[in-house]
Amino acid sequence: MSQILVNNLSWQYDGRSRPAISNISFDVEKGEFILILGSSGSGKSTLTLCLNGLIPQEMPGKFSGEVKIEGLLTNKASLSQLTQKVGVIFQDPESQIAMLKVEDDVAFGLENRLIPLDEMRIRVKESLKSVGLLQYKDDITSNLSGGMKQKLSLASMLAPMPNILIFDEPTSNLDPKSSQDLYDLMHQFKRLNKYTILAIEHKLDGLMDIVDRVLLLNPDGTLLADGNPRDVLKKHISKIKEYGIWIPTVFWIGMKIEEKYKEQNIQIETLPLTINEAVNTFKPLIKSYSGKKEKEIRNKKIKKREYKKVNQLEIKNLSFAYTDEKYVLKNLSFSVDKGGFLAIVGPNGSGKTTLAKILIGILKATSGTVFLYGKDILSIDPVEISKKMGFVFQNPEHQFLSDTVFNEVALSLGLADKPENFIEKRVNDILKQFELIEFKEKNPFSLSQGQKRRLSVATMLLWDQDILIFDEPTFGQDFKNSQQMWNILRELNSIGKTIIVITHDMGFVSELTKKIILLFEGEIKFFGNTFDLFQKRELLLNSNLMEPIQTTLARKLKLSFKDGILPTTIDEFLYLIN
Amino acid sequence: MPEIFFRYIEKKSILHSINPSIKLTAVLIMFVAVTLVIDPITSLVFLFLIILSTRFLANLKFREIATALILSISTATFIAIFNILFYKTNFVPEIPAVFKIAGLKITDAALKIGLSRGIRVFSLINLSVIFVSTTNVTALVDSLVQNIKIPYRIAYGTLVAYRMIPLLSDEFNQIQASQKIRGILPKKNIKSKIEFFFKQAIALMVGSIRRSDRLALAMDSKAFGAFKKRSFYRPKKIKFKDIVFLITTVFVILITYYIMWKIGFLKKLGILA
Repeated sequence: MSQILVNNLSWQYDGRSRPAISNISFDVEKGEFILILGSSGSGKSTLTLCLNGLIPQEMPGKFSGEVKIEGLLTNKASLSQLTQKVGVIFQDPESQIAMLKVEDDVAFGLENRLIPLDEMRIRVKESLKSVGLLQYKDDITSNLSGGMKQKLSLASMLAPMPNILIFDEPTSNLDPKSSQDLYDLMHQFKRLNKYTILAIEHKLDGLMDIVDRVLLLNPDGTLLADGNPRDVLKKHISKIKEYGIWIPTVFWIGMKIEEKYKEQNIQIETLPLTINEAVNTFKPLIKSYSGKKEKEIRNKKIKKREYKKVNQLEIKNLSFAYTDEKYVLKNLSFSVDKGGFLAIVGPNGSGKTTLAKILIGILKATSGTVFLYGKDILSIDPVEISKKMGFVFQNPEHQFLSDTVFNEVALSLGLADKPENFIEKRVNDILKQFELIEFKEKNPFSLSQGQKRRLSVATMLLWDQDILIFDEPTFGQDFKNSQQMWNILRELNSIGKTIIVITHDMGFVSELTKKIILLFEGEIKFFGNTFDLFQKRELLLNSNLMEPIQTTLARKLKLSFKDGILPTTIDEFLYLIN
Repeated sequence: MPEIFFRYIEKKSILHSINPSIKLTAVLIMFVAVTLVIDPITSLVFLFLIILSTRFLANLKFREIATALILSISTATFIAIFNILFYKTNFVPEIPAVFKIAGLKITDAALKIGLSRGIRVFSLINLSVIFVSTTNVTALVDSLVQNIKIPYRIAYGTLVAYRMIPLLSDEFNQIQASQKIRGILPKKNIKSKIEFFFKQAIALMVGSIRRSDRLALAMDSKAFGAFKKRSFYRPKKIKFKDIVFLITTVFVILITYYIMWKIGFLKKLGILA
């Protein structure tokens, strides 16, 4: 009998007009690794809550159909039994840790299940060991990094010895290295063949080699497809694109190549899902590679990257320390040109957000100076700064003060005592620009994630600032919203705004940004052209960063420009493979 | 954060090793004993005892609790001066003055009450500091549940909420910063300042409610509250040593009362005097 059996499952939350998921049926065998795909709001998380019984037992709503976990009906069996069999790790590292000390948190779920002390000691130790946290067992949980918090949650989930593990976007709040660590653990679990795993993820590149099956959900919460990943991707590619679901990078490149070769009637037999597959698939295609035109395209690219040299923002010998001893930023100097598109990258805790806060004047540098148009930023009135520089925070909700979308945007104009008709026009223009005009009477808090993001950007652009700083604009966002966000950034840059973006999103960084600063432990390890950074593999590895997939692929295929430079964007890669 | 003044200091000491529930009981008894004393000399003796235990029973250096000491000294001084200047007997014409300050009559009773109240406040704050500095929060909750049988759902539920407090204050700072960046500042009158505060509080609440929903799901997944009982990873037992400590505390209080009464300082005990 199947380990998980879902039969005609529907669920509608109380107070909602339509079901979150409806008529879903599938079954899972022991040891399978299943990826659940769908746009945000398609019911992926709801589905996972149905598997450990929290739906329908702890939530109000309408339930129909049945879910059986190892023979237990989830609407009848006791929650303690179900949650023991099915462990879930959620997206937000902050809101699943209960206790103040690492080992206490792992023990917490065991104490609740009345596990005797001796047994508990063994299990706590083993769970912590299996995620690599044993040496931190006495640490305070709030001092852990995001990645370590997720590992701790994983350990706490493993301790009751479940057979089924559910990962509900566990990496969406993590930096690339921490995500990779978590993927490594998932690989390890898959190899152990001890667990059945269901995962919801947006960034698929690190996982595709262990995925056995994909469940693809429609936005209305019905099941569109259930099958092996290659078949599902191939068959439903148009829907997947339409829903804005991430496509594995190598699969995407494969499709692009196919498109390109259409006229020559060359078809790629099986589109690759993993880097290794891609190397094998693409190798035969590059035999005819000559490298003739390379100089040309590279030169063209470099020309495109040139712009007028005006130092809008200049940072000189900047250092910062919260307390006397430990410097978060050490002697940074750099300048940002007008119309530039600069990414600040680095692992969590490297000082990126602190730097941004100093740039915008929320924090004062311990030593060194920030010059805005040649003037010391400390000598400029805060209101004047906000008219020259906009700053978009990570969490859009933090800035909402008004009861309607219109008022939210109008707020700062109103405070500046602008005439009413001027405000009306300006606000409507901005709302149109950000596709928010139809929601202008809605409460900002009731918008969808993507809309909230756009609104938070819209409110920052009122003064037509020249410089815009974004702090992790795609943090915790799904692929579709991330893409939309980066499009906004690109458009703003194309009309002449200077964009500074703090991000982990290397895929987008390599495609869009012109310059890049790599911060590591408070120091600038690299400042220069984006494509130059991605040539320095050692540096990236030492700084816990990942290079773009296409660059890795090119290296493995020994595909480079004449001067030995590896392609860093998909276009460059495609160009070279021709 | 209140932790600036009151925080657990990890160390080895007699008080650190006492069962938290017993320690809490002893501290509460001491609280009552100190509060009941009106006579300033007796209060001073108790204060002396408390300071001795801070140094020797709790092994705390005064440098480690400096901020708390500054807080308690300034509070105590303020209360003492206020009472000495404004105690009710100062305003009864028949009662003679001991001395006068800037035309204000200071009576004997005012002087005694003021000093005694100041010293007692100082003692009580220091008692709290001793308790908090030597008691790990998790250990306290463990002990309250295991030794005093407080329902575990309430106790650990509170502990989980306690873990969230620093997050809340971080978040509020961010909310304020994001308004500042937009160039939005409240107008200078009090009404708009209050309005502004409430609007920011709404943003904070929306976030917290969502977080507490997620937290509730995570707790359910950990089978929190699934059974009436639970087992304990850190068993807390009341040992012989703890009982000895409690009895000694009561004994020291009674001895002090007795001696002070014998030599004539402690004439009566009062409630809230």
